Amino acid sequence: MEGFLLGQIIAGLTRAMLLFIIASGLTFILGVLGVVNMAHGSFYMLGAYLASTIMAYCGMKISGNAFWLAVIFAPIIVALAGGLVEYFGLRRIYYRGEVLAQLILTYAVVLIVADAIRLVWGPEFKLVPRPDFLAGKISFAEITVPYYNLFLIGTGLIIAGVLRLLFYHTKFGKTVRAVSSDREIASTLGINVPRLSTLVFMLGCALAGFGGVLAAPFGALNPTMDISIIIQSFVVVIVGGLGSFGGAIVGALIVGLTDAFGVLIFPRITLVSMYIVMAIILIVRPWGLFGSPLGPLTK
Amino acid sequence: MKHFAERKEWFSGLVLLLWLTLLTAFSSYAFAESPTKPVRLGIMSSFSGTASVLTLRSLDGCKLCVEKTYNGKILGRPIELIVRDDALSPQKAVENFRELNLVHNVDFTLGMISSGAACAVSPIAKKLQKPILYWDSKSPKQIVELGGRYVFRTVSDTYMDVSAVTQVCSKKPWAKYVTISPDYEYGHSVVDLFKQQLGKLKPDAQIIGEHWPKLGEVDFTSYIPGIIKAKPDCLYVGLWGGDGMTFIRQAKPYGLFEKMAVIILNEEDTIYAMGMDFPEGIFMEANYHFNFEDIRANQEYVKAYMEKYGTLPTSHSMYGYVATQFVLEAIKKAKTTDKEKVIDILRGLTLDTVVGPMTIRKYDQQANMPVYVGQTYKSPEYPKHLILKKVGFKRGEEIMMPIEEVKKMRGE
Repeated sequence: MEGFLLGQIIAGLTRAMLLFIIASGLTFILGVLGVVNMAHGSFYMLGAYLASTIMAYCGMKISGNAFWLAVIFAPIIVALAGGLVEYFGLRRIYYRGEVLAQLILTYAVVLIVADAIRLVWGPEFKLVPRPDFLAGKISFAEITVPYYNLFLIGTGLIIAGVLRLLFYHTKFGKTVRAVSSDREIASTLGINVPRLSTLVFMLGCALAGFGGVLAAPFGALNPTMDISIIIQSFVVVIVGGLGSFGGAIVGALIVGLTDAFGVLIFPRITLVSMYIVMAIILIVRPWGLFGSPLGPLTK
Repeated sequence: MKHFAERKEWFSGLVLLLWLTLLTAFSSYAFAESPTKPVRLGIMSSFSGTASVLTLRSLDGCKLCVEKTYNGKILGRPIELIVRDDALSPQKAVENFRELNLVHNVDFTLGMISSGAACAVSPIAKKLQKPILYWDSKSPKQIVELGGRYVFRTVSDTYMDVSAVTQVCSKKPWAKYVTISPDYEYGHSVVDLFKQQLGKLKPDAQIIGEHWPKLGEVDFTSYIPGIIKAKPDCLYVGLWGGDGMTFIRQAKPYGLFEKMAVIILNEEDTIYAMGMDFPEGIFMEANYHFNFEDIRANQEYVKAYMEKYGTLPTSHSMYGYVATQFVLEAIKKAKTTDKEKVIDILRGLTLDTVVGPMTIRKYDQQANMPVYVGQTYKSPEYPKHLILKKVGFKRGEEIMMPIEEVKKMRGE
């Protein structure tokens, strides 16, 4: 029985870590720029599809390492695409302070990316092979764990560590936190706020793209995967508290584990178990577990 | 000046409007009785989104039938297809049906994959008195409760599919079952029917677990350890399309497919999509498989299909092909496109199809498409994908809902 519970916990953690990687980008953009990025799921989807193409093209020439090429290059391409959206779109509407304008703009990106992906890759389901060295599994006691699940959990933890280092122990992190708490004062102190905003948006998108690459060999790719992930990512961010990294980790763990155990305990209501937990948390703490009652920019 | 300009615009608008009215009036007059007026078939289904991998095959089958069997012509008139996409939305499907019949004045409408959308279309077909033939979409409800003179279906429904599967189960020594099926109308109906029929055929069988992931789930890892731990003899899978593919590939590393028998409904197309990733020994319900011996007789269909599309025909290609054959043959026999006359012929029509002789039952206008159960295996002849070995077969009339039951449900 204990072995089985462990298996279930690992399943929950896998989902949680994948969600965390994606949601951390969302919460980062939200916290620093105050932008509700509806297109985050689209960048995730773009990352997954780019990974499938990179692996299909390079897999033949450089066998085995094509997965690593996808891990490196797909997020970079996604970040560049995000940079374009920020530079030609969002940058022009930040100072209006209208959330509605941001929503419309990022939603337009959702539609554009979804249709572009249908055009380029077609509407059909696609499967991305798992890299050989991650295709196996380990079995002990009565449970089986595929290597890929362990790889996802490990990667999630590493990303959490790297992000923490980046924000609390580097100059870049300090600058970003300064901009996040007050754009105008940061700007008078000589920080190039517009350039930093573009960088922040690109980094957030890169995280979404990275999540997409990791998710590609895990399930099947289809042009509606953006919507399903964006809803879950928003749940994670809302539960954890807008703009909080620790919140994103805890939120992802709550969503992932609720899902894994909800399936066991209440198989009939798996559709809603995640939202029930979210509702309870929001009733107790309307600003999320690690958020601030005054909003994401006031910490 | 401004005033004048406005008046000028008004005037040119008026001229344009008159011109258009004349043009449409004239063209409809000119084409009304002409022998070159095309026979129009309205084709509607969900050609974008999750289902496209299946629906596009049906459209391929339909086009092949029009071009190959009929040379693009019937009653000496060209055949024209007007294709509309509903993206799985019932509301859009109803709009499409209205548009095809009221604007384009099609002679017959066929298609559909979503049973939810089909349930919305059936009542409209009745109300407008315009016929529809479902080549896919498998809910019994759309025919039994919502059907009537204007609603036909050539594909087997879930009642027939599940019956065939249950009969195979009843011959195997499987006592304990776990089900996993998407949490919506189709998913629940295939599990409910399975429980009902298994209870009749094999009273000692037990369902020891049920799982209801949402439609479009991308991560099944939470479900898999639980299924394995329950140690069922057989796992009954109602997931389809991308969901089915995701489940299979996530369950494979856990060794799930070596630990229990697995039955998957209606997923013959997935074998080709997943290639060699597909596990061996899976039981699969299918209406068609190119390699089944009784279907093999129909080599020219496979050859023509391969020539045109470069891939093997799937169940869904056959759905489109057979449905189109029924409609065109009925028009041919009626010697007119008059809807009421075509409907009269279509009711009770028997045709030789690529899956053997098929008849549309007069009472509820449901056809007796045969249902197979196959098991996947690797064949050296086909290095790119697995193929099916026939393990079960039911002729349509053996498994169709009995007329008495249809009458009872219709309250007649």
